[in-house]
Amino acid sequence: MKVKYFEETDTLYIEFRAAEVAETRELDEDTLLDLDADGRVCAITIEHARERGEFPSFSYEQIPA
Amino acid sequence: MAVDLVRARNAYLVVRLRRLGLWLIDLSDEGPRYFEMMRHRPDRATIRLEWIQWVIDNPKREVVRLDGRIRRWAAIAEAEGRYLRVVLLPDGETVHNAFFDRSFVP
Repeated sequence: MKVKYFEETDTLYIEFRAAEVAETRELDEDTLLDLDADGRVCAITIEHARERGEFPSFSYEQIPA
Repeated sequence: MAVDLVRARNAYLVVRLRRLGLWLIDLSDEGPRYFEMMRHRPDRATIRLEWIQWVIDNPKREVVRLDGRIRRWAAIAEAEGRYLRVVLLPDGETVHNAFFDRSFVP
């Protein structure tokens, strides 16, 4: 998974996997989903990310099974 | 021919030919980072720059959002008539995003 934040436009891009994108679909005015041919989400673009997330902090936690 | 150097930003150059009212978007150098990154993605790499320019110049519809960003749509004949959405930043010049929008209803 890759996370990229573009300060210039306050755009957050999260790529879950490097799959072939078949369609870009709008979820809401500031959220775009990139879907593969099976309709699975490959990536998400979030606009005005600072308003929607606590930037620049980021945390990751893996919970063991 | 009068030429305005409208902006030079991160080597991203927009030149307007005043008399002809044309906009040339030189994206050979780095442009807005998100757009430049997305351009290289395989599904976006097929979108020609002239198509983007066509949409900017000949929108079927335009919507200006509350944040000032501008959305324009137009059909691209070379792409089976699919509608291309182009998103401009509030400056009205900088292309932020461009993708074929299946949800667009003319």
